[in-house]
Amino acid sequence: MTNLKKIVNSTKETFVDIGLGFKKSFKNFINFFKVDKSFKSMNSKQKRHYIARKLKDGGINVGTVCFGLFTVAMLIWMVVYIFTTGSSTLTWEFITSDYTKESLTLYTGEKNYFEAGDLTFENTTNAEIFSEKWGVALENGVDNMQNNIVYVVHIEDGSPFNDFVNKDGEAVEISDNFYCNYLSVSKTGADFSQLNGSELTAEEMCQELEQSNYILGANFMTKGEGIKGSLLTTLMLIGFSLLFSLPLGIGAAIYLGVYAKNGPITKGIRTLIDVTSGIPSIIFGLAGAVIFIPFVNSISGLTGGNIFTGSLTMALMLLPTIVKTTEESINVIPKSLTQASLALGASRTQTTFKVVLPNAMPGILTSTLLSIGRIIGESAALVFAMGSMIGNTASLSSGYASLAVHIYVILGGEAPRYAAACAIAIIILIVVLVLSLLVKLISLRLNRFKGAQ
Amino acid sequence: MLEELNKDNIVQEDKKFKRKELTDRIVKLIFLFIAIICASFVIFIVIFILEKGIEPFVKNYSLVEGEVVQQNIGLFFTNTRWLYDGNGGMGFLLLTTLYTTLLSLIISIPVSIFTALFIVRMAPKRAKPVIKTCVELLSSIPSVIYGIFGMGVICPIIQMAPVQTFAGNSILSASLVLALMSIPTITMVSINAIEAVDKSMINASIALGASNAQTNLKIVLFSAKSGIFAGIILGVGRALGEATAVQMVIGNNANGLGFYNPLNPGMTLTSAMLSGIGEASGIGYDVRFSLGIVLILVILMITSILNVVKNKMDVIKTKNSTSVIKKIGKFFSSDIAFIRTYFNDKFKKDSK
Amino acid sequence: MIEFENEQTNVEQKVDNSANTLLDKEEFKNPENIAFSCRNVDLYYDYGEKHSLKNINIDILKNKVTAFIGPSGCGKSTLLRCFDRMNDLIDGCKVTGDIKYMGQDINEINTIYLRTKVGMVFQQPNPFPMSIRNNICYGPRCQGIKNKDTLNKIVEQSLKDSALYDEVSDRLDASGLSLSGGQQQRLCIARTIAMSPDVILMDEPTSALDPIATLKIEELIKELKKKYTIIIVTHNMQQAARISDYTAFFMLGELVEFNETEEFFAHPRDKRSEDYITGRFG
Repeated sequence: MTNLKKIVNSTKETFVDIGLGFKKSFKNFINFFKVDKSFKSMNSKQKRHYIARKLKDGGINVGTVCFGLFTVAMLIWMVVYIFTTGSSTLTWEFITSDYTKESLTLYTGEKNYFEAGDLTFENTTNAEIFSEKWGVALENGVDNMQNNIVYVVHIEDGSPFNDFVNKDGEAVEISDNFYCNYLSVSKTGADFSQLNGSELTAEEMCQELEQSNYILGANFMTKGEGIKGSLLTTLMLIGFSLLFSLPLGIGAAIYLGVYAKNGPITKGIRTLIDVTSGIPSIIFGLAGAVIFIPFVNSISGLTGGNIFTGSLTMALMLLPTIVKTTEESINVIPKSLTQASLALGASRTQTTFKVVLPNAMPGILTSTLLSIGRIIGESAALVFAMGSMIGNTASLSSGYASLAVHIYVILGGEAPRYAAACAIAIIILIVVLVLSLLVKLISLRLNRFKGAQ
Repeated sequence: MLEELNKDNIVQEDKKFKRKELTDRIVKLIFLFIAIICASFVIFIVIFILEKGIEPFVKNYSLVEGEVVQQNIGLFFTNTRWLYDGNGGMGFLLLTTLYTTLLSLIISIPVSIFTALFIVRMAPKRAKPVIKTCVELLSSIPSVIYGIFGMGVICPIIQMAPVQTFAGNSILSASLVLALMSIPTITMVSINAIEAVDKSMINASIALGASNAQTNLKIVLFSAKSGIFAGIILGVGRALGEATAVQMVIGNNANGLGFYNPLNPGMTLTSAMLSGIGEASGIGYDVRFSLGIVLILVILMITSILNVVKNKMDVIKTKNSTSVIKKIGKFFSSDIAFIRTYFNDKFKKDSK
Repeated sequence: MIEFENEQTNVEQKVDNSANTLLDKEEFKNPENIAFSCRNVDLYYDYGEKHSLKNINIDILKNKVTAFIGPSGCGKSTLLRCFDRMNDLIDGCKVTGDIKYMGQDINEINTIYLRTKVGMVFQQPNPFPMSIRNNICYGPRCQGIKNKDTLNKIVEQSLKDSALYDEVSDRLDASGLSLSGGQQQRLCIARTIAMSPDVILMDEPTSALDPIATLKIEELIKELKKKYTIIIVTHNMQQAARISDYTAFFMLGELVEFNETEEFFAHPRDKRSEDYITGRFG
């Protein structure tokens, strides 16, 4: 309760303060146009100088404010663009469906056509678009590329649509996630036309159906373009990368933070780790391609990039961050704490594992979160070290694209798919922003530790 | 009896301590080993990329049936086209990379410095942490998202230019994207540097009758210059090495030397490495590693030069030392003065 | 907020020391002699929560050295900062009452003009991280003086005035930070003099210096008093006795006593000043 009150109070104060700030800026703004009382007593040279200076100061101030607001506006624009473009595509179906489209070509069986009967069907659903002749209800839809498509939402009993068979003559049921790619119809039996779901709206298609007397065949498809495979790949990549990098990074940080004395070896280690953090990611990608792909393939007998090569490369990239963050949190631990442990008769090893490590936990957590953010966003390195083929599912043996690489691939073709890319970007953005907020919270707690010292 | 027991105990305890000491040493060695492994990765990276990057120059590749190709060393430096068949030249890629980075810096440096100044010195006190957190969050956004923004917003805007462009894909859009990407990084470091400026220095400046704007420019930014420079070095590193976002917007024009016009499409080292990687094989794949070597060298060189400059900024001058430019200026001015007096005298004599 | 202030004034009785602090002497009668005059000055920090100066009444004479002494936290530096309106920079600081500079209300004078006329030297020597020359040129340049010869003259004159010229004349382009502590402080004084002010405010200028550097600064102050009005805040009573003409003693935000230095140390009128001088507290 008191916490809530505190939060409410501080929020209120924040708003009041921002209000005061604006008032102050406004006052300054007004003051800019005011002339001092002493102005009248100045001579002309002084007056000129006074005005020039006032204009110059005003210009600098306005410039500073403009630049600041420009940055903020630019970055807000970016986030808004991504959210507005991608939000309509980002559905549960988009997340869980395969990338490749599944196609279902339907045949009409031995007769090679369906003929419309004399009877009309009663609309038993509340669907608005209903073909009484054929007994099917249609509905408009949008696929993951923002194209219009037509769904067959309901088929009445006795409708010929129930009698479709596949190539081998087995009866097929059209499940919900398939949409109508095209229907081959004929009005008289002699002519032939194809009703394309992507070109016609449901209403137009229904009209065409009403006018047609024969159905010759059909093709149904799933939406596809989903990101299930990339999402799973990313999750696996995160898991394996952390598995490889955390033990190494924490070990190195413990050496540097606890054992290392100032000497050439320590200095060398530090310099090399610093250099590693300055290498651009594409170089890591090259390194992964030239070191890890042959290495992993010679062990496992696979070919090309896979999850392991990708995660080893990422692990390499993450090491400097993990080492630095963890070492920092080890350094924050008060010296008296470790000294007390040693004075109580604990050995160095015991102190390290029982005092240093638990107290460095916030740092380790921070580095883990930072690493996750980095893995999710990494693209260039993974294109080289893992692969840029978009998969329908994740697998250990083949290198499918991660989410970021997925974006890169679908934007790289002839027709860039902005909506899908932005939808994935929303996922990445939200994860990254949440992670950095968490890091911020943890660092606030760490600072409290610092204060105690 | 009791004494004996104690003795026994002591011996046992002694053993225990020795064992503890031994484990301590072993554990320390293990951690040292891990640390050395972590540090040595970078050496492996460089060695392996060097090895693979030199291969295109020495190994024989069969590109077409019966024909053997190698990367031509001369053309690698001089050719103004980038090709993946052994005749590509990386010189203009390097120039485009530097040019794009420079353009991006021209935009990002003033914007981020003044943004930092705005956040620290002008924003309302309580709004400060909010804006600061926002910038911090933005610096963690991955580059591919900046790439989307570049493709979806910046390129169409540049396409609106009255000149014909390659669907907006141009060096200018790449540098805008890079600028946008490095602004949060440079701003964050600059904020830290500006906050570290001694408060008493600011007070002294104001007490001397300088206005707020003058203090901000002449004292705050001047005192924080080395910290801000560190941020710029970070930004340069990020801009030089960025691959995906640049490749998405730069247009990947392999015919070089059009980069003098920022509205032309171009190709940087990184985008050349990334373009068509999916179908690459043989020399077309391996030559990307040669570009990698060039990129590493460029980044190392530029960052170390900038670091030297930064370290020079930190040094407190204890003596009068004139800069080289001033010395040259003095040399010439004295010479000119000498010549002038010489001719003056001569003319005078002549006139006489 | 207004209610809050009323409560405060109700709780604390208004101190009226004006008999002790306004001197009935010949020099004070002539308004032309007075650089600063304060009447009923109150100062609040933290949006009225902290009452730091209580009803200050004081007149400060031109071309004299006035020393403010008192235990730490008594408000002497705060009052000093009122004179060039440096308190404006602190959020939530409010000053009430009249402060007049040369007979003019300081709130009506352009702050920038006021600060060029009233220079300030701080506790820690804080030269800007630039060359000695630029340190001194900083103020004049801010006022729009660009002529090189004028600037050079200003540099030379103010370095001579601050007794630094002989030590640094051969390295004017060296960084101001390369000087020793005492030299840095004298550079700060030179920087202030370069603006040709009327008044120099010094906020414990010697507290961060060693005794020899302190001595040099004190000699400098004695020199400077011929040209400038000096107000100096100091912890050190001996210093006040050595260099000042008038002394004001502060305690807990009140101005307890103000008098000629010799008289103040010889015959303190107030019990508290006597206790402080004799070292019973402080």
